[in-house]
Amino acid sequence: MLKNYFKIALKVILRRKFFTFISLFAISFTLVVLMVASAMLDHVLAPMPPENKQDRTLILQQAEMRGPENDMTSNPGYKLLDTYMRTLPGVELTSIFSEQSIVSSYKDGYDLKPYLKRTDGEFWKILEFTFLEGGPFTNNDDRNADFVAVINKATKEKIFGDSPAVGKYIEADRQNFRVIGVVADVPIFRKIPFADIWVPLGTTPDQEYKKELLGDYKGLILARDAGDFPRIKAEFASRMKKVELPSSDFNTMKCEPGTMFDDVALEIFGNRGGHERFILMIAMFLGAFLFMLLPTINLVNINISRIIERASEIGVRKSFGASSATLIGQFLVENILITAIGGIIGFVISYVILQILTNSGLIAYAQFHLNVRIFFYAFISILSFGLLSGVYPAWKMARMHPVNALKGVVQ
Amino acid sequence: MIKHWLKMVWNRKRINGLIMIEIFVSFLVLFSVLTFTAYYINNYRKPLGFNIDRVWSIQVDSRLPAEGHKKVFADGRVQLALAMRELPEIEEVGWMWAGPYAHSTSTTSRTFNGQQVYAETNRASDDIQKVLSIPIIAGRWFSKEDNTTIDTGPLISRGSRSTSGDKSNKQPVGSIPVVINANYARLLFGSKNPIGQLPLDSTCRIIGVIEDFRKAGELSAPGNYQISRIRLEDTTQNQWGRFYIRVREGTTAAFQGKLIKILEGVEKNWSFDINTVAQARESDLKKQLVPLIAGGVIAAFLLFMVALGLMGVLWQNVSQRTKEIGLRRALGGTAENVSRQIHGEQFAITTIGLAAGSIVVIQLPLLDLIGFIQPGVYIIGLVVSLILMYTLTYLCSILPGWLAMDIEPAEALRCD
Repeated sequence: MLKNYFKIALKVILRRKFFTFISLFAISFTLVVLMVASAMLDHVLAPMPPENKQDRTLILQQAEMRGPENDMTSNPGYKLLDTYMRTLPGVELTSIFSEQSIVSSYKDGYDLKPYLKRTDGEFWKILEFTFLEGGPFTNNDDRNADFVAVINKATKEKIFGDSPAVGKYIEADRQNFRVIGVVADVPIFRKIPFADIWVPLGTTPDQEYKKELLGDYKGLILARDAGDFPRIKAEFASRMKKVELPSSDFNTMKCEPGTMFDDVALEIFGNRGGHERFILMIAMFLGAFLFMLLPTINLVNINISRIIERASEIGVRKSFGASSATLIGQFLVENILITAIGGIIGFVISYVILQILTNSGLIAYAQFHLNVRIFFYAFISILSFGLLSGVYPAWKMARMHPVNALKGVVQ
Repeated sequence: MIKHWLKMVWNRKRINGLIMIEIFVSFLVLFSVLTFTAYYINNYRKPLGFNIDRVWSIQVDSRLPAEGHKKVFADGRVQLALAMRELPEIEEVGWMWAGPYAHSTSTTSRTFNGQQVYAETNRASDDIQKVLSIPIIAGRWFSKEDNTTIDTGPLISRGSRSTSGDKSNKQPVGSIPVVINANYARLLFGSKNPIGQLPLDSTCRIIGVIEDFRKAGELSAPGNYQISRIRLEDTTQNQWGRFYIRVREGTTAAFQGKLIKILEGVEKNWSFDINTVAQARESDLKKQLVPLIAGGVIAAFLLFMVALGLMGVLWQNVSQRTKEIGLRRALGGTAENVSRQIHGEQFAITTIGLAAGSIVVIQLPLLDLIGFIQPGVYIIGLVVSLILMYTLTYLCSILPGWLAMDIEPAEALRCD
């Protein structure tokens, strides 16, 4: 029976080519936009190397000192993280890293302006970078302030060309580092791992940062299990109450560990009293819904026109005893078939657009891929699209009175 | 005749209802796109208030903690400026807290005439006016004449990072020389002469009015602006900022490396980062334009899709109404009459959809949701999108109209 539906559907699709074109255009266009948008979100949010353990990772990225007259908001300082985060009990690993900053690094008198990030040994254990050459530095290197550096592939190629880089020296931020590792490029939007050059925290020219509660650092906590998050958050919150504040101008310190999603929400909406996460989710769904509204109405219109045209066929089917359910089923199958064709076209176009975006270099080191997850999103949206735009016309069709249908009169 | 159009529309209310909703939503999309486009074009045409030709920015990092080194910073700045002024490649040297296309923003707000008034604040040295060729429309820019006064400006950071240590000292009234932009002067003093007056922050005194200073660039909205004076040698507080220099015509980027070497010779342990302001402008513009263009392209495709859909539905309507149209032709209606009927019905549907859309859109200024958009821009957006929507639906009904005209009465009446 399904085979028959498919046959009929193909006939219908081929009969009114203009309608088919409109439907396919609407479906594939909607999908392209949704897929490109989700590939971009995926690129920023989804767990991918080196952030393989993202589901167990908490980030500390904002600290706030409050007082009766003054508020100060900033990244956490080294002292805050070192004293209160590194000593957290019952977590697997913790790491401190600096916000990456553009430094000067000369190659033949030309400034490459790479991003430099200073961090510790644990950073390389929490994040699983792909090492193309050599390996990471350790906590010992950090403690001894060894001038060693891990660089990314792009930087290596700019400075050393094709020859191996390990053991050679590079200049960055007016310091000389011995290269001990080369890693694959990380996209600029992956804010935790991203940099061009990573060096130990201990090499910071001025050691003043070790005394700062607010500063330019971020903390990473790797929990044993995501179920530990509430316990870690509660423990950290209670520790924040005991922080010794530098002056009487301030009486509270606020700093909360959050997941990557919380982190992005905080970045976009600022501090909204802990509701950033929900606001971001609602905004994402609302955005997708509003965008899909117009294509859906359009498809519903087209689909209704298609059925009206087939009124006499429906009349015949009904007169010979086809139930409403059968007819609805048939129409939905037809609709899903055409959506699937549109979906394939949309998928191909999205692939091409993402390839162009990746190669354009608009976003540094970006690699937009169509992976299984995006394919899954796309499949779900195709399906819901097909059902949404088919249900109302199908229901309308099934309710047609056979006599009217035979006459081709539709209200 | 209009009554007849409406009657025919009502007779097929379900399908027409869906078309109305489609027109309604399309109108909202078109309106938002056009209003934003008009808004940005309007901003783009306004004067920027500075010229960044041949202007470079030099970021200076002393690698010293902020506290307790005010004198070191001030001395370093003065030495660097002196060294740069001696170079033949450099025409002007100035210092500014946040120059054109810099991302730090600071605002101050006061109550004025019962309303909260915001002004963006900035700080600049005496020479910045020459570096950035800032046009002055009244009064003068800062100069040595202002040395008698204390050089501290109000700087309330609103960014994510607030600088510490800037305790607001109690300043005597009118002691800080400031220049404000024409917009701000008009708001505060109307047609009166603002020179010598106190702006909202009464510790300041206005010494000049500049055309504007739209730091965020061509697409940004004009607002209120106030710039206070910085003296490079000031040791009373940390004067954050960058050097801005104007280089002589024909100076190439190769000079950047040379300049850094010279600067490093002056201050041994400091680090420097030189960029052309044009680069900052380009990357800024790209960042602002890319989402706008992406949104515009998506909206254009959406409308194209709607137009196709509309045409398909109308076409279907006509072929379904063959009998009715044939009857009308048989009773003496001309082909033009029939075509007019098709267009008229479409016009009625469009009008209802657009009326609903306009009602929604009119709520925006009434509820003060789009306060930043000037009324002129809003009206242009509304009118142009109404015209475009009518044109679009008219174009969509041309082909179905022709098809309807082609219907022969005999053939129509025969069909069953």
